[in-house]
Amino acid sequence: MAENTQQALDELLNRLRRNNAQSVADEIARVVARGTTEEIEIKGAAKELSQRPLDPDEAFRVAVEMLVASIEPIVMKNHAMKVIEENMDTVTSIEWRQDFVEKSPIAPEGYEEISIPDSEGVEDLEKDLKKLVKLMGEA
Amino acid sequence: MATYKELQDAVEKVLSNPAARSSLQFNSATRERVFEVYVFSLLIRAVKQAKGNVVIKGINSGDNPNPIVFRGSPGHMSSRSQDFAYAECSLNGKEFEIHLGVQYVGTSKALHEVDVSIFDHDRAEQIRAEGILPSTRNLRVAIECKFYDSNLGVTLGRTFVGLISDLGGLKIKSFTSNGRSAGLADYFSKSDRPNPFFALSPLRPAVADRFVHSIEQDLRKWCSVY
Repeated sequence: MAENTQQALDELLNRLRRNNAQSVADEIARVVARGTTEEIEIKGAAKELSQRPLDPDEAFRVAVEMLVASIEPIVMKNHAMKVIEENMDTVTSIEWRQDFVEKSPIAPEGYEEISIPDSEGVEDLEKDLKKLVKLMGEA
Repeated sequence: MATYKELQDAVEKVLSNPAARSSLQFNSATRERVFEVYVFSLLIRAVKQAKGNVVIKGINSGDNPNPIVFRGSPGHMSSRSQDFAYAECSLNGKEFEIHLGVQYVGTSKALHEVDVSIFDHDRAEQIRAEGILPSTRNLRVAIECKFYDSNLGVTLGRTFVGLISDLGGLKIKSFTSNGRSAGLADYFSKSDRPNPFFALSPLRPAVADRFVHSIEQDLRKWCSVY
């Protein structure tokens, strides 16, 4: 990678914030700021772990890894749907709902339900993410 | 060797896809649930590759539920509060079910959630009919699913090893994540510990295939497929 990775990192965080992905940007910033640990040798003593900051290349790599992890669930869901569809007549959606016991003092209404709307372009996204993962392996 | 420009262009292309923008809005609970369903689907692939049969069922609606509903948090196998789905499978005469997020009563009588599990079909029918909690006696497979975390710690491994020590004689025990951890890999390297599968993702088909083949082989052995 080149010396411009610091600029690329800043651009990535700004881009995420502009895309309403503030929480992903904040998480990347937190992890990068935490740095990493490495073994250092202290004269006359055993090796010890020491904290050090990430260099821009390492930070950019961490940021891209976290970006991919944040985006890939939609590809995972797509793959799961395909496998499930092969074993069924039709599937319109996968949903997650809360379990509850009848006559509970608090009714389940309002409990969080998760559903992921179908998005166009998931196949293209998968190709682009695979390319990114491959490039990361080569960087 | 990839250049900075190639990487930046690839990132830009990913971020410009509308599907990426919607995925970036998922919270951590949604990501965990999606990863569990992905692993569930890989188990279905393993059963099919071993030439087994799979039918997706809803606990209330029976075959081919639509929509497919999974537990948003750990729950009971017999619960009919929602049309919770599971996969009913048969392989060489053995009948079993794949479940997501079910709680089991451990040998210590403690209640444990298993992210993805395989349980004997006959006993599951009894559990549903009687509305009781399943014990680990008929639990065959326990798979822990951990979504990517920048800090996948060894503690996760210790917790899972502690959990499976209370789950009886499992045929398959695996720790799966779409992330990686050198520390966890070291921890699971001991011979009696669960099989770890890191970087498990549709973006890395070779890893997914390795997981499916591993499960398939263990299922073939358990079900005496020759």
